[in-house]
Amino acid sequence: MSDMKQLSSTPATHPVHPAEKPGVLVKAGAEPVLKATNITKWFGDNHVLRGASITVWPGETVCILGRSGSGKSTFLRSLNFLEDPTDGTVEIDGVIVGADPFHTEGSERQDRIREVRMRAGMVFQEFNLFPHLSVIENCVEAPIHVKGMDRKEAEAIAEKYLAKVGLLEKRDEYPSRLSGGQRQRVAIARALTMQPKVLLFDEPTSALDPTLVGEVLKVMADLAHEGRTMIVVTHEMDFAHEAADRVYYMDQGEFAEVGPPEQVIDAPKDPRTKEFLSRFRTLGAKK
Amino acid sequence: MHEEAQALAQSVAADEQRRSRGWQNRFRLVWGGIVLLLISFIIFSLNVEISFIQTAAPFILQGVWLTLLVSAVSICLATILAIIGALGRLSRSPLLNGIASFYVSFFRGTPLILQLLFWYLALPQIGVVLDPILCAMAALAMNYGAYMTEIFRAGIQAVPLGQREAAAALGMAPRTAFLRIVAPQAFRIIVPAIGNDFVAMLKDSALASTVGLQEILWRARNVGAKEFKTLQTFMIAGVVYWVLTIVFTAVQNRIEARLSAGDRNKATKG
Amino acid sequence: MKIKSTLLALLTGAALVAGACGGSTASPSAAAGTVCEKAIAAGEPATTLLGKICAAGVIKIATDPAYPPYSELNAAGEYVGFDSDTARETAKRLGVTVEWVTPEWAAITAGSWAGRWDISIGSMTQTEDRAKVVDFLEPYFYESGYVIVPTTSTATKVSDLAGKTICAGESTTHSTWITGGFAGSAVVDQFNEPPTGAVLKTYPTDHECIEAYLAGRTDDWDAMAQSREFIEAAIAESDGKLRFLNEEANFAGRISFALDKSGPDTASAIVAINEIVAAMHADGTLTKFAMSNLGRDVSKP
Repeated sequence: MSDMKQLSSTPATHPVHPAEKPGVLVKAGAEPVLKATNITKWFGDNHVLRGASITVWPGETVCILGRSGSGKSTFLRSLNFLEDPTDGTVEIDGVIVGADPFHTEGSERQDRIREVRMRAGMVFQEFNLFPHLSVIENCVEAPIHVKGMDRKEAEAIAEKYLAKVGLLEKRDEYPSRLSGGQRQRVAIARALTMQPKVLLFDEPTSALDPTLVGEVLKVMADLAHEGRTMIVVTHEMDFAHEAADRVYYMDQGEFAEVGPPEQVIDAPKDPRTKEFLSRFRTLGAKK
Repeated sequence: MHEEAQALAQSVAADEQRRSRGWQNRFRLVWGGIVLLLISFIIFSLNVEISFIQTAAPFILQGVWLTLLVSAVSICLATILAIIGALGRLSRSPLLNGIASFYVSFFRGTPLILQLLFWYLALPQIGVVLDPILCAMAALAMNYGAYMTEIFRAGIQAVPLGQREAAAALGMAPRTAFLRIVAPQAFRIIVPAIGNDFVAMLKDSALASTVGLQEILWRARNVGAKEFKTLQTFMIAGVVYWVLTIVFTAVQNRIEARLSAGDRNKATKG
Repeated sequence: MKIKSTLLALLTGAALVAGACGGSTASPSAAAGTVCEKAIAAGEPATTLLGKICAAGVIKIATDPAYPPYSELNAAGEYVGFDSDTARETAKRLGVTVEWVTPEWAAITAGSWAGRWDISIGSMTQTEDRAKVVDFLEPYFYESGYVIVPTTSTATKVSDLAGKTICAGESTTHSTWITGGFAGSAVVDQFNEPPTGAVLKTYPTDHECIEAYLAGRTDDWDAMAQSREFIEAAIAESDGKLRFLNEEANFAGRISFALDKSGPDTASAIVAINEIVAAMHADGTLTKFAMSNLGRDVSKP
């Protein structure tokens, strides 16, 4: 661990994986909207993330696959600093935040982290809706109190997205009265109301009853096809195959394979990917 | 076929209602029986004089105002102390955390009556002389504040981590997240605790009689002592405290019911 | 330094009203030439006890209102009895209003009142021990100590109670007498020595001695020591179970107002209030109060 000190001083140049090419919906000449460089994370002696990097252009949908414990959720949560990386840099929409493992930096870094978070909306596996607020209040809470937006304006935006996820008529309901699938869709609308540049999905359907998974995946697929920038950590192979421009397979904290879904899912090159998918296909029923 | 099923369902429901009503009536009978037994025991073995009780009871009841005043002010102060204490106990600053946990340990670790005497007798040694009513309020507030600190802390910590993460992911600053997301949810645990403590404090306020405050217990002792009938007057005082407890417990239940109105149908399968 | 914001003063005032503070005297009339008016005119500094009382226009009097006919808080919330009447008259002659305070008896006899009250007018007997912490004024009445026994007791005089358990209230002169504390006292006249080998049993208040016995704890004590009126009240309540040991007083004490030695300077207050007490003796006020409350004139030795 003594070599850690030299890691965090100069920002390394961002390595772009050869398979990372702008997707079909990306305008020509666009700059990447999200660049995570060399994300490293130690939990004590546990080397959870081993320098993973990712490049995402605006309008792309990318999926991250991997078995549990591979670090994929930790990686996603490092992008909005819910996990604080030991080393590495995240840049979203021009806002750059580096690692601060020795807690030397002050509140200015926290302010920049908040700027990053305002540009990256997250949808959680456990929905995490605010139970004491109604659906519409859940959506407008952050725009009003973080961005200082006017309530009417925020509600208009929220209603637009609630309509998009098909839950406008539930705007005054409380989360406790909704089904799991409805709650997750509200969570998506809540993230959208902040009008982020990129959406982060952390296994959004893993906690759902199988019958409710479909309604959420449909919303996500629609968003993908509309040109939303999305990073989705998921086990839903069919969704990844259908909606993703690029798939990343994470194994033990680093990306073992990167490429279009036809390659990574259908014809994986790396033996680790192959092994994961073969086990996946035999154990799980095709959804 | 369908009508038969419906009729069966209806008669089952009616039967359940009857059973539940029957159960409730038997429950009330038990209460009534115990109260009757107590009253008979009191009347026959304890030499109760109705005329005396008729003069003593109003005198004792005049203390209710002071008891309520002391308890109400103390619970408000205790709540403020508990909020500060809980934030201190959750703080990362070793100074704040240290002070808060010392406060909790000391005021939960020493008897309330000792604390009251400390306010009354020890402070004047350094030139601070508080009236008995202020001593009572200070003692109750500091003591209950310590217990409530731990309840508030637990209530705050009981709010799931996911709530804080969601708030953070939306870009909320920690203070905003605490005030608008965590605290309202912690409220659900905290409000019943405050209610319980207020009801308990009504009885602990009786300690103020030792420093001369003319509340319920002081009056019971005073009006009974001169006729050597404190046993009867203490019984009256006991009934007064009991009735106060019943009344305020009912009020508390009402408030809790209104607050949890939004929790109807909480458990829907996800 | 006293902590009293106006709000808290209001609360305390409300508390005292609720606690029935009947007994405030009317403000002195301008023409009356009260003690305080004279003192203020003579330039009494506000740092002495007298100056403080006169400047505030209020005298705080400590009493334990559970001892009729000396001090009692009646159902209407008024302080009545011999001590209460005397206290009100004293305040009137001073030219101030009364504020009653009701601490525990032990707190009053211990001194160090921290200014919570200015004076004790509560049947306090002068003793050498108490005189170490309080300043006694001239006596306003005289009281003797008697003994009460169960009717079934065979004892007829004090010496019959040798080796027995005798009950008394804590911090009372009666408990002091039982333990032989008045031998050789200059302020208490002891007529009979306490029974040899007597065991003292105390309760926080005298009433509890009687209540415990009447409730059935008849093994608690063999005799109890208190004043005449107290014993008469106990006998009345006892349904024939208790009686006087005999009609002999065992000791006689001088009962006086008391001032805190550790508070503001008492010299001028002692002079001024002693004048009032002497006047009340001379003009028969104390006799009048004694006859109306007790039916006998205790103001003479």
